[in-house]
Amino acid sequence: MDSLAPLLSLVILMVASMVIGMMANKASEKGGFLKGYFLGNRGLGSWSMALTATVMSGGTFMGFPALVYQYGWVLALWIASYMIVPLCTFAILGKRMGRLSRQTGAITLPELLRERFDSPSVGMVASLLMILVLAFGLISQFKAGAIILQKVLPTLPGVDPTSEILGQSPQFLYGLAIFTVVVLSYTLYGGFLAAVWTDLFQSVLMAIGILILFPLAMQQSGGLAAATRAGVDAVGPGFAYAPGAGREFLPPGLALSFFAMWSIAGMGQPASLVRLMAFRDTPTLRHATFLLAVYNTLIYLPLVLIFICARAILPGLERPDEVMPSLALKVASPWMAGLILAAPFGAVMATVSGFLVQISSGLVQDIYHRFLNRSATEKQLRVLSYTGMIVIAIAASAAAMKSPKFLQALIVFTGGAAACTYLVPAVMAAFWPRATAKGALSAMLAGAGTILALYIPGWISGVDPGIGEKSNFFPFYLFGIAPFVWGLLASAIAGVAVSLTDRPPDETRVNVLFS
Amino acid sequence: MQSDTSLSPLDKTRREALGVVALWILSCAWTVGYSLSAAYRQDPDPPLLFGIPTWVVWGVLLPWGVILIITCWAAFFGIKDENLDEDALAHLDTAEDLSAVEAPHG
Repeated sequence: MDSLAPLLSLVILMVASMVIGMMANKASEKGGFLKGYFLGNRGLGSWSMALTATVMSGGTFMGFPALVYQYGWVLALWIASYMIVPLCTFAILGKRMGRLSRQTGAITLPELLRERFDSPSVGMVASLLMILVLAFGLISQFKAGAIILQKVLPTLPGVDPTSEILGQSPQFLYGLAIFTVVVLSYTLYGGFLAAVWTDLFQSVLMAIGILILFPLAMQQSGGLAAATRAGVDAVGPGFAYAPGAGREFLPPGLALSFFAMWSIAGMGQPASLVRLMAFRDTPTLRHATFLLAVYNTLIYLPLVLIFICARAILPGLERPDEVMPSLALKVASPWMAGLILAAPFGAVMATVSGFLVQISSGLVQDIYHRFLNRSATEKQLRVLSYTGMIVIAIAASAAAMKSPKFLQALIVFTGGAAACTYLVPAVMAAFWPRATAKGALSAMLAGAGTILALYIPGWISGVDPGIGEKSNFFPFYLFGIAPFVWGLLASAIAGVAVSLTDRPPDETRVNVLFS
Repeated sequence: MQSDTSLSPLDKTRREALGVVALWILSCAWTVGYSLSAAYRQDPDPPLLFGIPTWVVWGVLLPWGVILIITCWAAFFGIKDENLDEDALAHLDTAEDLSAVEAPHG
């Protein structure tokens, strides 16, 4: 029975998520389908905002621990800017996005940009880029979900667990299939609110999981000092210092880049921006700022400490991406391990459901309803929403079989690409009356284009630049700086320059939105 | 400096946003600046405080604590409330409302 305990814990989590999906479905029905399904009727409270609006994902609980295990204490510097994420995410754009979305009646981010700039082209480009970026981001999340499940699923009868199908173990494929079905089911049923509520539920589980794992890891490693010395003995002094053990993981240029990455890129994520359109009122926003600050402190700092300890507990792990489930199964009792494993699994499920809702809203509301069929019935929109989600989930699930070795590499790319595309247009929309549609369009295209231009040569050549994360997904670090910084810079320059050379926007519209 | 009451909601929000930007610059300068001076070494016997390398304590944990306190202050006292009631806001007449597809539930 004990051997099934981790699996049973995950099954309970999956069932709970489905129940939440059903409750969300009921709550969404209070308003119209679109506003309820894609925006939760603008009724998010402080806890929902705080624990679901940032970039916690499979990366936080699977990819990040793998990096700490691999490179050591330098990861404390890598994630240091999470200290200021709550203020950046909520205090800079929060009130303006909340106000603009209400004034324009926008339900999705592309819709808000289109109405603010009075340009269907801006809306269309924003939708297409969002679908592209988020669909890519889904791949790593599906892989993370499958990795956790394969660790706890019983071996299939009559199947050799060491055999390979399509380059993957049967356990991995089995886990991937189950994960896909579960996450699709509750997201399809409950929409935005299901994604947010399950995210909230799972965020609380994550905190519990981390707080259980922390003392267990400390105890079994003999304490932080012993773990640090074990790491230094195993992989050299780089384990305790920058730029990291065994590789120039975080040279000075990248230290600066990643300080900007988490705090600034977090503001530009479509999932974060759409939540800024969905909060109830400004006290909600303030309380969410406080809650997120406390939550980030309780999550990120202990994560570093736990996986420093993992070096002493699990020396020589071949697949670093599996360090989280491996550590949980090693240090805790089976039932406790199940609860701990529910944390990363919950994080992955929450991210996937959020992405699916965003992609579906882009397809249905921003493209089909806006451009192809303005008189669509609710039934047509509902069917299309469900179909879009299913197709995207299956495609991402298939792509997960061939994704890079290190999850975090994909997550950094998609997070950076999304921020380079949306952050500057969102800031221009919120604070700059002189910003024009052509400026916003240029900002989106320049940001997305720059980051792609810096990643594509790396994918094609496959040449290891010798810095940053070791992966098979290398970008080109121009002057040692991460592509995200260049993309954001290009986006800002293009947005400002094109707006200033363009005809000023319609005064009446600007007066209403900036009154 | 203008008093809070004479500022429009937009100006208050702009001022708060600029405050966050200033804080971001300070936290970045402290964390990255200190780490550049203290973390980029290869000492085989690193100095530890409570088992943590000292550069992490002074370069990451300390600024994290300071920013946490400032964030709590901002959340309860610094950020000003604003009326976002949909009925109280000016709306775009030109905005096409495609969200009004009503569901015949049941």
